[in-house]
Amino acid sequence: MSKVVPFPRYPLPTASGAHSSASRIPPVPPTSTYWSFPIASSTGSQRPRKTYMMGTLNATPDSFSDGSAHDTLPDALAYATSAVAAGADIIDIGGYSTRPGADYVSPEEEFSRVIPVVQAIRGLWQEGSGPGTVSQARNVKTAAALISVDTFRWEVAEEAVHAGANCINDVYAFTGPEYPLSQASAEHFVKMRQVARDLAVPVVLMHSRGEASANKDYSMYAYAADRGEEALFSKVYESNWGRRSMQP
Amino acid sequence: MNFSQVSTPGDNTTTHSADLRDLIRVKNLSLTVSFTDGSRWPSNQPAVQPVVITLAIAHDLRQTAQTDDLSHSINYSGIVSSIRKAIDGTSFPSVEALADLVCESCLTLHSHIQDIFVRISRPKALLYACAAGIELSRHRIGKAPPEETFFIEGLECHAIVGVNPCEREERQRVRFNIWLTRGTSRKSPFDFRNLTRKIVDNIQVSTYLTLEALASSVARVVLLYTAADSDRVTVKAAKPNALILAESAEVEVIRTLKDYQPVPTDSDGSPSTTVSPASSPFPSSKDDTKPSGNSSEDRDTRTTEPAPSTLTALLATLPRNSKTDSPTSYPHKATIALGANIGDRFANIERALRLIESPGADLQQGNGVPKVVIVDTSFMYETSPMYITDQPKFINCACMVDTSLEPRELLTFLKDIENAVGRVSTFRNGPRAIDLDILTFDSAILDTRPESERGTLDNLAGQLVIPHPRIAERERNAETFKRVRGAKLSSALLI
Repeated sequence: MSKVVPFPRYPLPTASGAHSSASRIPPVPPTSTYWSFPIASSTGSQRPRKTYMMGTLNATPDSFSDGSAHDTLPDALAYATSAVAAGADIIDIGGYSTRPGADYVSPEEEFSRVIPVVQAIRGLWQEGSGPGTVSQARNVKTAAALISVDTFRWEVAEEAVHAGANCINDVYAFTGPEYPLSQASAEHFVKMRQVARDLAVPVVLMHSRGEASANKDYSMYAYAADRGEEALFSKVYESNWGRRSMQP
Repeated sequence: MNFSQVSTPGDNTTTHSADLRDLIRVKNLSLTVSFTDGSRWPSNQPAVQPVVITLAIAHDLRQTAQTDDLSHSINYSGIVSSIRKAIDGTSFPSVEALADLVCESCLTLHSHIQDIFVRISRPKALLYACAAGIELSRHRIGKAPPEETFFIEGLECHAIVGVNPCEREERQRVRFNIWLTRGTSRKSPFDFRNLTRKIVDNIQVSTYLTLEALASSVARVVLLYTAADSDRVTVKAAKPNALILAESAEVEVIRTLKDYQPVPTDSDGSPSTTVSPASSPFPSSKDDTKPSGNSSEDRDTRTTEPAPSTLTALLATLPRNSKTDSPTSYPHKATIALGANIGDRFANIERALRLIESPGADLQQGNGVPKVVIVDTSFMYETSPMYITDQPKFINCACMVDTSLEPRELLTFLKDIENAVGRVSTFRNGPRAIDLDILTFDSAILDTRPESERGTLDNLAGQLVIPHPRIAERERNAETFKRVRGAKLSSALLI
């Protein structure tokens, strides 16, 4: 027996397989692939577990190694293609660096960095120097690769998934950059959870204390090393609670 | 002083002298004794038969230990000879009479002995069991202790018990150890044979799904037989064939007659239904509006989950979405298993989950609020199909729902969803686009099949049996359940 995580395939097929009596519900995305994590069976046998590798594609000028504005589409595509060829199982695309002291990025800016890259990767299957060539085979493989979008903004997440991403990767675990948590964090949380549910995508939730550019105050963690875990746990707990709000 | 090392869980021997901790023990002394109450079968002639006697004598051994001189201790071979002498040539009407005589002769002939515990087992006393006997203790000063324990050990017979299909068809060996602790009385000998017959008759016609239910019913037979409120019975039930690498799977129950007080039936008048939201195994959701006064219990259950975090508190302050968070009351909680093994299995499951929350629980014309809302979902698991192996693998998961539907309505609704998602009715365990089963419904126990047809699991189509009889046959369910928050299903269901 294995625990499995399915990744839906986006963009949705245009003639979204009109499912007769299911027309009253939003279209359900087909499955692209799924990851499988064998768990120990009752007989105690444990199958080897595959490690899945993520290639990180930083569509951010301040993340690129040379720190300059080489975040162009050809660079991004070259990176994605080589990562997939090297065995990456998923490409993580982010437009807002969360490294310490990183600059603020507006939603519009993040949009324009991330969405075109996702679209370009999904469009790769028709690129290449000709059918049967190595580069064409690589492009087809890259075009079908899993993509996660590294963002804490629900608008970016939603649009990126519609453009072809299969997964949302959020360093703030849905509550946004505000820290400590406020009512805005709760609103942020509900919105992001809604997007994830409506799109039926898996999510990666990470714990972070406040905005990337802020001078982070770690003092309240000094006495409890596991606070971070606890905070994250409660977010995971809440993100799984109920689906009722997904009614259209 | 604790005699229970030589005894059994059923033994209730209590401390007589708090300062005495030392024991001398004669373990499993084998003798042959004549009884007038027969052995495996009743008999009018005295029947000589084996007995196994264990004695434990409380005695301060410190002086003997210090001086290494036996004269300060009790000579156990002397005790054995005095017992042999006392019983020689006597025919006993019962094991109690033998036990009394053994105690008496030890206390009379050995003035050092203050406290004695005796366990006498008769290996050939019963046709269906390995042994029957008594455990009691006596104190030199004062009256007989108020309680003694009768036991029947290794009672074996064959019964239908278990949830696996093969277990519903073939009887399997079940083994019981029974201890009955009751006030000392010598009015009439304890009738082991008659009691054992009643127990065996009861077991052989039983068709329980769980060993727990079987053990409890055996305890009930014993208590009804002796019919005394103060009697206490311990039943240990074992299924030797349940676990391949273990000697047996066992349950142990301790009961008194009070545990079998009649339970009030459900308000709808159907006696076979016991819907009791107050004892639902699941915690209530936080905005549960059900009127029953069990909110404190719900809170308690919830607090065993992660403590309400700042986030949880903040989420509670958000304005409700009037359309989706309507104050509809969902009085019931159910768990639903979802499984798919053809087509796009994940999409089938997602589609079913969405349809479950259809407005008005109606796939065609429904409007208004959903009558079933999903409050939690499990992880998904991929498993090989059971019983039929040349089939695609299953994806399985479970969800917890709040609902205003009654069990049969929920079943009908789920069947509609199965059809909508594209289930083609095939042979049982065959491929299916989606398979939805109600695993639990509050704490209800339901079976819509006629009483005479409940012995099999081959007639479940269109019927409703809750908890789902196949709940335990699937490793995946057990695993899935563990991961559905708050699913405090009794392990009873998972054996």
